[in-house]
Amino acid sequence: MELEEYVQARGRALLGLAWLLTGNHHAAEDLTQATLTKALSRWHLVSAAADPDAYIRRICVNLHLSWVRRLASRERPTADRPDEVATSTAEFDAVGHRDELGRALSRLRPRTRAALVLRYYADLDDQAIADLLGVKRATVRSLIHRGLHDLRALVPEGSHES
Amino acid sequence: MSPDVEEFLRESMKAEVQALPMPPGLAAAARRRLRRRRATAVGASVVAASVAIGLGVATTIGGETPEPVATAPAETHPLPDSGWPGSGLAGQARIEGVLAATEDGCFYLELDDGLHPVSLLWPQGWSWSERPDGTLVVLTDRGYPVLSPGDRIEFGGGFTTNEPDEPDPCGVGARGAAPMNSVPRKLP
Repeated sequence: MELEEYVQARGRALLGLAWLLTGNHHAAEDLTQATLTKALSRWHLVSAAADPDAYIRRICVNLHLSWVRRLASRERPTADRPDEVATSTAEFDAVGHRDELGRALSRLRPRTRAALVLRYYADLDDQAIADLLGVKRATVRSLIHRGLHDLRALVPEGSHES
Repeated sequence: MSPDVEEFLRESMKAEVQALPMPPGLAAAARRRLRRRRATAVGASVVAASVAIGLGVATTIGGETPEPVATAPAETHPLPDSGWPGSGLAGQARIEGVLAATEDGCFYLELDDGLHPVSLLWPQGWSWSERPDGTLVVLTDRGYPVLSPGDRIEFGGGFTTNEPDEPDPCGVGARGAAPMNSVPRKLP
């Protein structure tokens, strides 16, 4: 498999993962390119891997978390905590729901968001997420539980009811 | 946790990704980036080797002067500096507004009062660059793209002045400058 074939088959999924992790289109493109560049530099390992997609996903998540760590070391804590965010009962259309979701995801801690994205977007189980994030399974369960709890506070009541 | 939230999350994420515009040439861009990186690494090695051999001795490989091999990275331009080194508490007023820029990369802040914009002074080492599609992007001191015109941002700083006769480097009718004494955050 060549890089071009991989991008043709899985490029959108990778870009989607990057977008959900970063919440920003430009940053997602940069993360996708950085991921592909790193994968390309060791393509013999990627193409020989039992699951090349998992290998590249791991590169993507690790790159993102390492960038975030560097930035976070200089960031101030946010003034609003998720449980202090005002919610509205206004009706949202489908686009509104997704927009609300993107905003809500962007308020979560990076590792919590990554855990949710890997569970609900990449459909990975606890063990796979734990391996990818380098944490224990119990930590993954806790991250997801806390992430869902925070999302409930951030996404207006009714948005997730169809 | 109720399954409806989880199902909502699953469906929303997948729908969101399906709607993303796919940038062209991702694989080609990755190949270019890797070539640049390797060329830069070789260039750095050549420089290091020449320093090691050093002290005014011309570096030669096989009797020939090596061609420069490094490819220039995407051009970046420094942003005006607030003097804040990137760490430490600001302890100053929180400023919020919409980031805007002139075509030649002069960034300023549109305030919500709509009266006048303010000039911006950034954390040390921050810069801006232009993407191939012509859009501008603000880069951190480590080169990570974080903000673009149109983004709503907040930071700790405070206005240095609000006088009408202060310099207006962007030529947009700005009054005063807001120095950033914290990392600016993009708001939803």
